[in-house]
Amino acid sequence: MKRQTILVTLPLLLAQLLSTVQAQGAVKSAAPKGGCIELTTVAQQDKSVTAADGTVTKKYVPATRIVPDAEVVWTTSARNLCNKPAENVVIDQPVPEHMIFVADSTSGTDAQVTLATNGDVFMPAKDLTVSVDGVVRHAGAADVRHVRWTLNKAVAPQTTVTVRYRATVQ
Amino acid sequence: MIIRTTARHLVLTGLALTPLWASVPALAAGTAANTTISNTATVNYSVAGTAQPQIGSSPTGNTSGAGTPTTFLVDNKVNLSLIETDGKAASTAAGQLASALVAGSPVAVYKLTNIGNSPQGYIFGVTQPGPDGFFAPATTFTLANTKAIVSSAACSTATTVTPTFNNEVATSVLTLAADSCVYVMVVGDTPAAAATGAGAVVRLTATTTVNNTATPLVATLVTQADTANAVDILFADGTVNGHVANVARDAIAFDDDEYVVTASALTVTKTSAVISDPTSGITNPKAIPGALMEYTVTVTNAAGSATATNVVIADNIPANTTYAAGTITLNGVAVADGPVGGVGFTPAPAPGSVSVTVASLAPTITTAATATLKFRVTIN
Repeated sequence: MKRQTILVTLPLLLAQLLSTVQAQGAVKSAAPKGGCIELTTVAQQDKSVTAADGTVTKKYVPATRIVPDAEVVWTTSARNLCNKPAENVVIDQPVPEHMIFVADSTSGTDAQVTLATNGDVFMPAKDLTVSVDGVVRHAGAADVRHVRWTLNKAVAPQTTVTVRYRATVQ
Repeated sequence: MIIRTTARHLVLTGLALTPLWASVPALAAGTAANTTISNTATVNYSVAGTAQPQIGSSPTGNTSGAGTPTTFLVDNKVNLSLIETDGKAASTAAGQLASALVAGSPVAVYKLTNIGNSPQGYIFGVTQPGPDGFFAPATTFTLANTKAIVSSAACSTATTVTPTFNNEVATSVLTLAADSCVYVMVVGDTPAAAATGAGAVVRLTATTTVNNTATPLVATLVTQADTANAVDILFADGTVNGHVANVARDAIAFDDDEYVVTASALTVTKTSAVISDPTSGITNPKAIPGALMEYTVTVTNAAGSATATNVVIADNIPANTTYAAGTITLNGVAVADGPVGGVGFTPAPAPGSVSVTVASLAPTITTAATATLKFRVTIN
């Protein structure tokens, strides 16, 4: 009976290892049972709301009327559904086709932000370079195709971390 | 530091020599309406020191697997530019009818450019607002039967030219692609009584229509609520357009041009030469009976004067001579013997007459325009 259990568990472990390796790539084929983090991405826009006393506050509303040159706030929230802290949390988000990253537009508490031009090599904005026709230059905002937030602290159980960046429609 | 970084970048990616974004065309008007923009975030994390499977995002929250992309549709940005092409008045002549314009006639020309992100149609209106500050004639006249006509001339958003009339008839644009332009002309009838030097300011108004129709986009679209995952319409036209202030965000643009009555300054010269005689042939021929004579009639429209259209050059065959068949040329090009609508050689009344029509004699500011008629006769 015990032997049997081990026989069943070993392939499972292997499968889990394999899926962790696969997770490094862009495509994830297997759909395991629910994880500890619920990840939500929404497209938003800023809206200035003027109160009765004249004070203006900005809030995020669902993006509407998105035409070329419009700025969209991509907001991603990670909620820890488990009873244990989620550690080493890294959130990746591409800059979609037809959109241009807005320089210095990332936000997120206690997170180290790195950028990439191709999805492989992430580094701080000031170190990011791009090679065009053999000429290496500093990457501009338009060269940024991926944004990564590496959280400095674990996400406590039943709490949510929200990160944002802005991009304009080409 | 920089070079080392790039070297590592190349090693890791292997094939990313051409950046992905280099293939994205740079459109002035922007991403086409109805384009889906799609985005999925991913998270990697550990629990109790054990790496967990990657989770992809969804619009409403996802806890396992690749997730669902968060998408939106790019809406329809409506924007147009209508600008008079050359900043100066077009010439007309007293009594010039729009219906009598010939190919090459100068006209008031505007360049209409679709600077939105979708194909749109356009309809046009013409008014005469009077002097507008840019076009400010001291004396004015009013054109009759004004209308807009769409030019068939090729249009480039990069450069602006001022095409001339070319017998076009279309009065609206059914569809104009984003980032494309078309020239639109305004024509009208100049009254016969219009004084030389008088001006008529014409205002062309272009109204954006639903693509492939003549139905204007309704103004209430500006305040209409957004529909998620549908293509909504946003008017984005500004107040600056050409020479005159426009209303912003109404999908309508207008600009002014002017017609000025200028006179043509035609001069005619006529010379004759002996080509051959029956005795000497072509060597030192004399004007004796049977000799072949060539007449040259030159009509010149002086530099800086108004374009003359439908210039009829006519000459009677002199008495005691006979027209030599098939010898009429206009600017070196043979003209068939008539009579066809009075063009060419008309035998009656004897000894007949020669007539040709020049569609347009259009001088520039510096160069005169010339037409040359030649025909031959024999001395009886």
